Amino acid sequence: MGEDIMKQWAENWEKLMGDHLEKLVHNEKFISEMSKSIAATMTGKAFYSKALDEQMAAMNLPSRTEIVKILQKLTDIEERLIDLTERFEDYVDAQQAKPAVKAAPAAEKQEAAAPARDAKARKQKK
Amino acid sequence: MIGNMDTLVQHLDAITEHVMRKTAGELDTYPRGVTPREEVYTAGNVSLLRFKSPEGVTGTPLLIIPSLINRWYILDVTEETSFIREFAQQRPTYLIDWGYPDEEVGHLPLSHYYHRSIKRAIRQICREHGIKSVDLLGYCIGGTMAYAFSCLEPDLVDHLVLLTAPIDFKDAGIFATYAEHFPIEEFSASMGKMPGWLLAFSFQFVQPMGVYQKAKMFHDKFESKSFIKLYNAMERWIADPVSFPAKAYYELITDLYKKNLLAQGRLMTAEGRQVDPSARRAKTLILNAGKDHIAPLHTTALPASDKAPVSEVTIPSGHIGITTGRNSKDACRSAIDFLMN
Repeated sequence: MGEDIMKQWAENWEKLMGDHLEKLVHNEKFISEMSKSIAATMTGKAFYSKALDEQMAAMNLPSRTEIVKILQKLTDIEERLIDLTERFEDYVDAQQAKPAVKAAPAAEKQEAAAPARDAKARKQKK
Repeated sequence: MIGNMDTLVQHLDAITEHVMRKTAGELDTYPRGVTPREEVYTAGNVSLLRFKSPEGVTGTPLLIIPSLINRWYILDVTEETSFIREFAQQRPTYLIDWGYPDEEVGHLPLSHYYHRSIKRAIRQICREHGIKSVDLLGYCIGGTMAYAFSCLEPDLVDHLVLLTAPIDFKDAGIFATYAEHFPIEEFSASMGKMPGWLLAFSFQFVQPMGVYQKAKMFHDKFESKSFIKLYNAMERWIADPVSFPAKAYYELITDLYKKNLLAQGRLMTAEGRQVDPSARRAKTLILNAGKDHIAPLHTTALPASDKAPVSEVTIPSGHIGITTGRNSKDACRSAIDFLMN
């Protein structure tokens, strides 16, 4: 019986808490206030990061911001290399496809000349 | 403070992982993604995976575009629930692994992912198979990106499956409300990325009783081996968050959530190309979840200007449950039937 009471209590608590918290996280005013708090934290972080960057510069040391910029430059270089590799591969593919195109008109020429050759051969036989 | 929290959370993560490894036993070595695969192409953080298919499997290759927000192996979390395993039985199957992007790609725009990266992957697949187009399946934001790509490059996409993919972000539920109030300019000025742990926390935050209900479910079912296997695999996936690159996150919040540019046909790539839904031609299946709080049903509808042939199947499940829950097999079967016909 004690177990049943506990189970009932837990279910009631879950429903009550769930309803209350669901309303809270869907409440626009709550969301708005929470966002303002996050904005203030982020502004503080930006200010702190800038101050730290200036400190590092004063000590003639690279800051995290500068290192990230270098990494981003490396990413850009990598992207360009990938683009160039792809263009080169496309060029090579196009070049490899060309001899097949050149061979095709030559084969057509031979086929067109065949009836004339046959007629000549028949004339010579006569 | 958020930057320092990042380091603190990383330390706590490492300690938690150590403790969990000691108690997980054989499940600790359970793979992240169960279908055998190989990496065929890498471009920065992004890699293209090819999954092993049985001998003789042919047909138009399928490229899967997972979400940028979490890891791809939710689609391949156990043998019993794996979408990828089923697809690989039918078609050559590929997937873009977005990796673990960090601040070194924080300056890249969202179009780098939904245009450039997907185009590179398709180019690689087409060269390998000697074909001109592929089938795409996008999950969640991956679906949004797959849709945008199919508008930009209609010749490269034959069939498109949108799995719980939000396209129209007007009144897009609780996440739209949070996006509306999120201090995106302050974020852009202070952060090089949206930390993975903060994203994971935000998903838990909007379902406040989720952790309690999960613990209760564990208490009720822990004696079932199949439940424990799926539970541990899911917990490992949840504990493997991915950071969202800063500029791409900025564009996700402003261009998609706030301004809803994709549905209006006014989304522009970084190169100035318009993502125009009326240019799309791929046969499309909208596969959505009836109890989805992340991509509510009406957000998965396509814009009125989109004239491509479309069909829709709704599965009675949640956003994640559509891939791992009891109705996931119906969702998988619907996608396969669409792709095979």
